[in-house]
Amino acid sequence: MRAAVLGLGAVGGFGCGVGDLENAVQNSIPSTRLVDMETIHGVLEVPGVTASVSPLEHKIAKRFLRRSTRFMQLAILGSLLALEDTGEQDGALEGRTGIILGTGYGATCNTLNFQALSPRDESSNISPTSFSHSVDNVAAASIAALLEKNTPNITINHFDMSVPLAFMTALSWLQSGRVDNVLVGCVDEFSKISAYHQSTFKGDGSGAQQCGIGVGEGSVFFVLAPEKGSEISYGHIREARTCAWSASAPEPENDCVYFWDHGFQASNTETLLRDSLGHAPSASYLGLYGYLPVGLGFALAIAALSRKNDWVYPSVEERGGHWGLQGHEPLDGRRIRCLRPGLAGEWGTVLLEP
Amino acid sequence: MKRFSPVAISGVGCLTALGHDLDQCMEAMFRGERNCGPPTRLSNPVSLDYPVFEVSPDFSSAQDREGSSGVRSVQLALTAVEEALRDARLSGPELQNRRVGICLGATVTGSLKHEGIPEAQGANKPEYLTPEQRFLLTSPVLGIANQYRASGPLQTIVTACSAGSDAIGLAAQWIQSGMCDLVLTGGVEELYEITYNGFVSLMNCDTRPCRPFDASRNGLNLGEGAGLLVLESEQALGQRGGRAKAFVWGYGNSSDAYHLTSPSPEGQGLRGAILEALEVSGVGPERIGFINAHGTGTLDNDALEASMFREIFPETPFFSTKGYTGHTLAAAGGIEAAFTVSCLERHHLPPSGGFSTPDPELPASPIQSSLKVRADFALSQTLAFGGINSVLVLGGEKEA
Repeated sequence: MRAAVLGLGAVGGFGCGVGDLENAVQNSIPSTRLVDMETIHGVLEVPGVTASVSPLEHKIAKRFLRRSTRFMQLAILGSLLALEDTGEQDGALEGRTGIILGTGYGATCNTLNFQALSPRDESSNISPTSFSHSVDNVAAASIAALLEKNTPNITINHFDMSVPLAFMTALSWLQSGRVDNVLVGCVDEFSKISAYHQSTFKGDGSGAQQCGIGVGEGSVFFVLAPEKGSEISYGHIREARTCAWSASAPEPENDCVYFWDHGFQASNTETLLRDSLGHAPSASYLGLYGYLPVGLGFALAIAALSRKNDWVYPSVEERGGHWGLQGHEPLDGRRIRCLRPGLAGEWGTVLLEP
Repeated sequence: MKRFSPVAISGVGCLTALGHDLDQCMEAMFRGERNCGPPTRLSNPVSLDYPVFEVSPDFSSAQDREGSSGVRSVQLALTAVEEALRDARLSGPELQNRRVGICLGATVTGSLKHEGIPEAQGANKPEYLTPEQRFLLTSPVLGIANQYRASGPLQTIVTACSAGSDAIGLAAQWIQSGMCDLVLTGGVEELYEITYNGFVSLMNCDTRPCRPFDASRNGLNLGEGAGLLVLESEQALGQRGGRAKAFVWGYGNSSDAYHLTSPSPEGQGLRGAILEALEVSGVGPERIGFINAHGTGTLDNDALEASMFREIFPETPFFSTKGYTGHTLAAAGGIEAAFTVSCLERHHLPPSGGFSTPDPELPASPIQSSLKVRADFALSQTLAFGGINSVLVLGGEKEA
C-alpha cells in the first residue's frame, strides 16, 4: 500500500506555506534567532526558531481565533494550508477524511508544564477554558469542528516517535478503507522549558548556544490518499514505522538519500544509526525548523519538495557546524528515507518514493 | 470498509479503587461496593468536596521494583500488565522472542507530568528535568517496554477519555497487519491535581458518589487505575497452545465536530463510531447482548447515550461501571474493556453503579440489578473531550 501525498502545509520559523519553506531550503536560510523569555529568574534570551500564526487571521473567523490557543492555531493553520495546497476548491476533499495528529510536547507545552518556572502557580486556579484547552486532542478536535468532519480522529503523543506513528496509522486507515483520505499533522509549540534548559545548562556541553540549534516550533500537515497510479509531484509514502534498535538496525539502501532529524546532542541511537548507514548520502535541515520532537514531519515536507523539484538541497544544520550534503545535487529518482533517532532506543522512519 | 478480522484477547489485567485485580474488581461490583472519598494524595486540590475513587496504596510490588521510576502511572500500568500476562499464561522471558508492541491510552504522562518525579530522582526541583527526561521517566509505555524488553512499536494515544478504547482498536490493527505477534494494550490514569482541579472548574463533578443515568445524577467523580489486554495473533497463540478469552471484533471512532467539552446533542459522532464498529465487525445491533456504557453521571453524556441506545439498541441491556470506579479518563476504555470481557465470560452483568431511580427524561435506563446474560457480543464505548467517540465490539467466540 502506498499513499499519495496530495497536499502539504507548513508553518515554522522559515515562514508560512510551501513557498516559504521551498525558498528557505533552496537558499539554505537558517531560521534561528534570539527569543525573549520571561521566567522567575528574569528575562532570558534564548535561541529559537519560532513561527507566526498571524496568517490565520485571514483564514478563519475571529471568534474561533479568540477561543483558541497557540497550539490549536498552529495546527489549524497547517491543516488549512495543506488543504489549500491540494488545489481542490476551498480545500474541500471528497469522501471521508480522517484526522491524525502527532505531537511531542502536546497542548500543555507552555501552560501547565511551565508552572515550575512561571511567576505564579496556575495549578490551583485553572479556568474551565484553559483546562479544556490542556487536553492533547484539542487541536485535532478543533480541526474536525472547523472542517465539520464526523470521521475518525486520533492524537498520538509519543514524544519523538509521534510522527512515524502518525503516518503508520494513516497508512493503516487508508489500507483498511476506514477513510478515503487522511489529514496527517505534526505540531509542537516552542518549548520554554526546553529553551530554559538549553540556555541555563549550556555549560554541560549540550547548550543550544554552544551548538547553535534553536528550539523550534511549528506545524506541518500532509493530505494523503491511496495511490491511484497517476503522477504525484510530492511522491508517495511507502512505509512508516518505528523500531527498537535492539531488534532491528537499518541496512544501507543504494537507491536512498537519508534525511535526518535529531536532537541537540547525538543520542546513542543516532550514533549507532550513523555507523550502520556508513557513507550513505545524507542531509539534515534542522537549522530551518529547529529542534522539536515532531521535526521528522518537517524533514518529510522537505523530502516532498525535493521529490517535486528533483533536487536534494544542501544541509541546513548547525549542530557543531555543517554536516551532510553541502551542495545541490539531482535526486535522480532516488527514494528519500527520513530518519529520527529516538530518545528511548527507538528509531522512526518514513519512506518517500516517486 | 474492510471487515475487521477478529483479534484474540488472551489475557486481561485491571486495577481500580474496587481492587487490585480483575476478579477483585468484579466481585466488588457484584457486591455493590463504592470505595470513594475525599482525595488523599493531591498536593494542591482546589477543594476536598468532590469525592474520588483512589486505588489503595498497597497495590503492587511494582512500587518496589528495581529500576522503577516511582511514577504512579507506570506502577499502575505495570501491575495490570503483570496480571494480564499471568492470565495469558505468558512469562516475561517468553515475550523476548516475539514482536511485542505496546499501545496505551494515557493523559498524565510525558510533558504534563512532574509531580512525584523529583522525589523519585532525588532532585530538588522539577524544573531541572527536561521534557525529554520527563518523557523517559513518566511514560507508562516505556515503563512496560523497559520491564519486558519489548521490541515492537510503542505508542501513546492521547484522545483523553476515549484513549484506552482507541489504543485497543489501533493495537488490534497492528496484529491484523502482521506488524506484531502480541500487543499489550489498554489505558492507564492516575489521579492528578491538574485534572482534579480542572474538572472541578468545569463544574461537572458531583459532591456525592456519582449516579450515572439516575434521575438525581449531578456529575461525575474522578477515578484512577489501569486496564490492560494481551492481544495475540492467531499464529502466535496457536504456536504456544494458548487460549483466547475473547476477541476484538470491531472498532469505530468518530468525531462530533461540535464542541470541546460537550457531546453533540444529535450524537453524530457517537452514532458514527457505533455504526463503524458494527459494520467492520459484521455484527448487527440485534446480536449485541449488552453494552458497557460510558455513563459518567453528567447530564449531557447520559442523555446522549440513552438516546442512542433507544435508537440503535432498543432491547439491549446496558450499564455503567463508573459508579464503582469513578471516571478513570484515559484508563476508562481499558478498564471497561476488561470488565466487558469478564462479563462475557461470566454471563453475568453487575447492576449499573449508583443507579436507583429512572430518569423520566431519558428514553432508556440501565439495569438496576445484576443480570444473567448469555451474550455472543458486547459493546464497550467511551466518549471524550474534543467530541471523540470510540466503540469496541468484543465477542466471546471466533465463529460468528
